[in-house]
Amino acid sequence: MDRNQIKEKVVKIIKDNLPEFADKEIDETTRINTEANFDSMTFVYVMCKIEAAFDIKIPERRWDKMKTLADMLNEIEKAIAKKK
Amino acid sequence: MERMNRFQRFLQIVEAQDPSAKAIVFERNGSLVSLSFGEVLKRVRETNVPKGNNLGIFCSGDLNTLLAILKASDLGKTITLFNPMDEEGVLKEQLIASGVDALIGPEEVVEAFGPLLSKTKKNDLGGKILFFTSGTTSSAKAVILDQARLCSSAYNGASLLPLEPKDELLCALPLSHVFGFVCSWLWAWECGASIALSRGLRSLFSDFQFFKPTAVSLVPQMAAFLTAKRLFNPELRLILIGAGPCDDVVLQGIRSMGIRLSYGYGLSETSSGVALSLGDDPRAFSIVPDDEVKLAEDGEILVKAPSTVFEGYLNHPEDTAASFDEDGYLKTGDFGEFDERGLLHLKGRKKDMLALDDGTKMFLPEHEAKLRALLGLEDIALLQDASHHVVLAVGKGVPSQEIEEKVERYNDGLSRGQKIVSVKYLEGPLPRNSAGKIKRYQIKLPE
Repeated sequence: MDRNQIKEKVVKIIKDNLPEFADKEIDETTRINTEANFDSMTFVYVMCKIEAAFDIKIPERRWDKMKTLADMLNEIEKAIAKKK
Repeated sequence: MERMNRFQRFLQIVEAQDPSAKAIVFERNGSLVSLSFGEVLKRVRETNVPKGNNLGIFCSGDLNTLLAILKASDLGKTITLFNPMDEEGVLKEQLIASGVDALIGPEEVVEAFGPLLSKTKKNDLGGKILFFTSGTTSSAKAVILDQARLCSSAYNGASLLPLEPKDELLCALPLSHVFGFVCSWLWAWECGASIALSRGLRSLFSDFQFFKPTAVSLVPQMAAFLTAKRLFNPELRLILIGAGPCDDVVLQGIRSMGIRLSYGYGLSETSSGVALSLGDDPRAFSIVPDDEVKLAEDGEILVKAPSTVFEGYLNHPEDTAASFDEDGYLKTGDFGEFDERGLLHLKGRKKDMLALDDGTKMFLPEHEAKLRALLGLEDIALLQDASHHVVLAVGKGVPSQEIEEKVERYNDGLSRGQKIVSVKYLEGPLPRNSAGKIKRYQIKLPE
């Protein structure tokens, strides 16, 4: 799975779970950590959905380091590579 | 109901009354496992804790965390509780300030923080339990409590809001938080009920269906999310919400599901609960039996309760002294008023601190000083908007892309709950008192 395919899947999960993002253009520079309604519970929920979608586990201590969509994709790529 | 002064007494008393009564339920290899009060006593006896007088315990929420707390407290050791999910920098500061001389917790966390033990300012308080009150660094302060105070707090809560021995309380809050320690653990044991240990952050959403608890304590943010997603199980009959502000829509949503709701008011400094809402109005609080509550002239809530009020802040004697008035009442930093029925209503914050809906606190002066320097603006203040999100108010402010970008960067160093979600530009200056201090509660935010 290449980065674009990962991105497509992640963006869909974010849009499906966060109405605030539904009509927004999301690119790799989009900061996902300051959205008012992306609180810690929603973040955990979205992370669980992402982990399930890619069958990976990203250590919880890494979660807060993901500021932008690009950060998130980097972590997912790392976790997928580790799985192989 | 009996007032305890040691955690082990819960186990001994319930075991003597009903040897088969469940104390803890947890998951192992996908199945439910339970331990009776007697079995927990036995497991505590078999538990080893490291040598040292002040043990730091990373509260990962599993059975080992509980056993370590029970064992260390029974041995008369001082315990400092840490949340392994806190930011690394925050944990480092807390660890050094706490004076711990040994660590207990998940291997990787103990390994990562172990080297810091040589830098801690050692202290032996003799059997105290320390909880840090905020997620910031320089203002992080630990409140000094002990077993007797925490047990009294559980007794107080259970006196007003008793659970049945057949109840099962889902323990989903961090035990490093006083509200979690008392209201998602000791409250159940005080009533002879059991606790179900949440399987962790990732599983919280399915914990309700897995354990089928009858009661749960939640911080507002968790309550809001779980209610919106309707993740509660049909057996759940009682939800206690505390440690922060909660929207009416959440409170109404819970009630519409036929679940009894109680809202709690308390501080770390009071070992959690000062008052609980028991009737139809979730914002009308009954005072717990041990607490004497009155209002200062300006309306600040003052509390006197020798059985539950803290001993002080660790290594902050001036702050401790400043927390009490001349008559020995704890100054809560909250405004309140009593209604004609004698029930307490909260009316906002007086202190320069925000209580966030994820149960954490944000001390404002240090953030505002940094933001003033970063933005080159003097007339600024942090406060919460109607949705309890943190916003930055700028007096006589002119909207500026540069300000927004700098605030965005500043957010990178903040925990999720503390992030500034918007900048509000006020037409006039911020309201201040004669000493120049910002009257935060008088700031009217523009739409």
